[in-house]
Amino acid sequence: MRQAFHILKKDVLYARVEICAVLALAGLYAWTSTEMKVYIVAELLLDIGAVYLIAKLIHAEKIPGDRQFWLTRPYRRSSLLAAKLLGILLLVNVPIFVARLYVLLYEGFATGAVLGPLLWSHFLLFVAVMLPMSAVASATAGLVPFTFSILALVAAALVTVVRIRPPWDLAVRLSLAGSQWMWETIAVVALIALALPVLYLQYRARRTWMSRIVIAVVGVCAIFSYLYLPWTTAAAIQTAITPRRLAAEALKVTFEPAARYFYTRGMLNRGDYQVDVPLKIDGVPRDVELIPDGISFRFEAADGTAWESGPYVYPALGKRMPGPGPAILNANVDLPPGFYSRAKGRSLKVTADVYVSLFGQPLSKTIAIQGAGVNAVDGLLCRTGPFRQLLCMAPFGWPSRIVYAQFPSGGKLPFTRFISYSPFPSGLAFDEVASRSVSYPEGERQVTIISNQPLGSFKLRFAAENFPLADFSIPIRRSSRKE
Amino acid sequence: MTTSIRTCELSKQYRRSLILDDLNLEVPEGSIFGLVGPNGAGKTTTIKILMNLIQPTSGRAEVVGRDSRHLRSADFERIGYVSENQEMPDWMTVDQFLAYLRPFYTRWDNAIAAEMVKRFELPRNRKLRHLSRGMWMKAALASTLAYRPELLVLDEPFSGLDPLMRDDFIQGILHQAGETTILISSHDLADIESFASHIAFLDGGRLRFSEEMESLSKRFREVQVSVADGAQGSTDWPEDWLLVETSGARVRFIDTRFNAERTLAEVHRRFGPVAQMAANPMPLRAIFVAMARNSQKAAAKAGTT
Repeated sequence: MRQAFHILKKDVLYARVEICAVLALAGLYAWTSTEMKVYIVAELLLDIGAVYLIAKLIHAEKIPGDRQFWLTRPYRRSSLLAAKLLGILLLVNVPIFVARLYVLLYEGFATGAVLGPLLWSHFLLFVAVMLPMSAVASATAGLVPFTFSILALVAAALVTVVRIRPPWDLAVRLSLAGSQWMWETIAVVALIALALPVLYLQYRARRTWMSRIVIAVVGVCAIFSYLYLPWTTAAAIQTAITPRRLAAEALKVTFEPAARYFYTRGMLNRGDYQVDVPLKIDGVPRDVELIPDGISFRFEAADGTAWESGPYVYPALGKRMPGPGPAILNANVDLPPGFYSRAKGRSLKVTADVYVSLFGQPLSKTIAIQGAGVNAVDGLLCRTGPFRQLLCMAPFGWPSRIVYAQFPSGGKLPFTRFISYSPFPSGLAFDEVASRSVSYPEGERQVTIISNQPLGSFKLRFAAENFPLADFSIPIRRSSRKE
Repeated sequence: MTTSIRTCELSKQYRRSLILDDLNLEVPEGSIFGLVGPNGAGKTTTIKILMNLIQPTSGRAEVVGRDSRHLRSADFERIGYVSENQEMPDWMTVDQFLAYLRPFYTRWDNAIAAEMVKRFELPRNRKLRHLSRGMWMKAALASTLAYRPELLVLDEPFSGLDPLMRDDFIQGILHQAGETTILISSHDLADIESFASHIAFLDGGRLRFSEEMESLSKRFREVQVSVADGAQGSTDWPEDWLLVETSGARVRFIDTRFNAERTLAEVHRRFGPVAQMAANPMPLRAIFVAMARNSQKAAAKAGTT
């Protein structure tokens, strides 16, 4: 470790100009984020400065090549790597950490509420951004090849995505708010899986070509995993890992024919038939709110022909009457015309896996409605915004809670039901503050912030014999040009 | 004889080019070993393999008793390496460079470092990037001699140096001679000759010879003979004879295994009575040139056949 500090000391001297620049940019970022509220340019400059400093530190003892003085000096490779990582941690990560902490404290968040998510965010930043950057830098011999490598990797990733044609619409996948974090986790794991072997290969054995192959192979695998992870698997994982505070046996799904409803659709799947399967979920306690996460269908005709929605079709599943207690859901799915014409008028069996999450056991705190931020429950900081908006902010992403604003006059409004179920306190996104707002009635001086805690994610089984397909389907019109 | 460096059928191939071809070389401990050869002979490649800067395609090399591919950081406390094209942290001053390297070596001797700086008249506060080429090399050498390496490897250290610089440099090296084995590759044969104890000649990736300077000097002679009956041209000369020229009654060649009686007998057998024979010792440069020319001739001959 002594040698690592010795190398680090040298690196500080070597990159002193760049270090000062990163410190200044971190300061600029903190200042623009707090004083000007326009920080995009400063953030971009800080990102570029940080990446440049990482490359500079790594290239001070570059790995590729056979002319570097340090190769024939008693450098311990482990010390060299430790020096570089320590340098990146102290000279890049810590200044950004301090700048972001300043922004959060300036906003008015309590230190205790932000420290955990901030530390986690910087851990991710280090392992999933700075380590991969270091790995790419270690496989290049200078700033120019490093820059081109980064651009080439991004271009290659884009071309790969386009060439392999994702099995489903990525925009649809983004609507999976709850388990969206799993795709981000894939990206983080892939970046770590790319960085660690490359750093090992480079600093242990100087295997630059092998490292470049690792970067390419891991990159392609990551892209495939990212694009091909079925939502059903993500939902199943979510169900498996979420701690449950409610027995799943209590929840029952039944067919609710009286609740038929067809959602307005775009021009997708023209020529298909939109089928609605109305469902009722009983067993949800009166003070517990159910959030529908997804549904996968299997339609089976009496002659044995069947159609499944499969892992990459995400049928629309909605709850038209939000609120606690038993829920009525409408699941709309598009059936292809071939299967529809075969199955129509026959006895049809419908089975489905319904993924839902429950929220309850609320925490609440009554706070004043005022211009200065007030710390409420679950790390939320609330204050008034423009146009009579009550603005609540959370450090590094909205909490995995259904949060309401309840006013003394009786109104109770949810901030959002579009929340992430991520078990992690923060993600890779650089934004420190996530905010949501509701309108507050004129004259109100107080509000109670109610936070419904997650009680678990569940997979419920639904089955219905003799489903009257014709009564619960409408054709999806072709475009007028084709007609 | 203990050796500091030993290579065993060492080969290096870049795509289709064979740079080193089954090199078997031994550098005795305590020797000043000159590795000579024309451009592209494979000298730098050999040294880079020895220093584990590149990997051999086949064969192996042992340096200070360890497989060169497994040289550890601690081994470089015993090995010094100075190369004409080595990259150094040129943003450091001479003093900063020496101070930076000091903690890496348990055997670092500040007195030697100071002495070298003084001897080489190195400007202590000047950045390495602002040093002349000669000063740059001297700084590299000073930083290497300061820890008294057991093995000092110098790759083309004299190229581009003026005579005064060379002399300073050689004096610096000789200062260390005795307790250090020195392997030096160079085109500068005259300088090598003045202090090398052993010499190896590498050509086209192959080792042509490797021996003590003393025996090499004894072995190579430029022979001039006057024969009574006139010299007849031939192509079938003994293998030991290089660059044979005949003109009238005069024969001139380089004998690579000179032995007065044996050479005289061979000349007599080929040309009849010898009127006069002179065998002159050859400087290393002349030996090197003769070997190189002979190789070129042999290659040209092989090409035509």
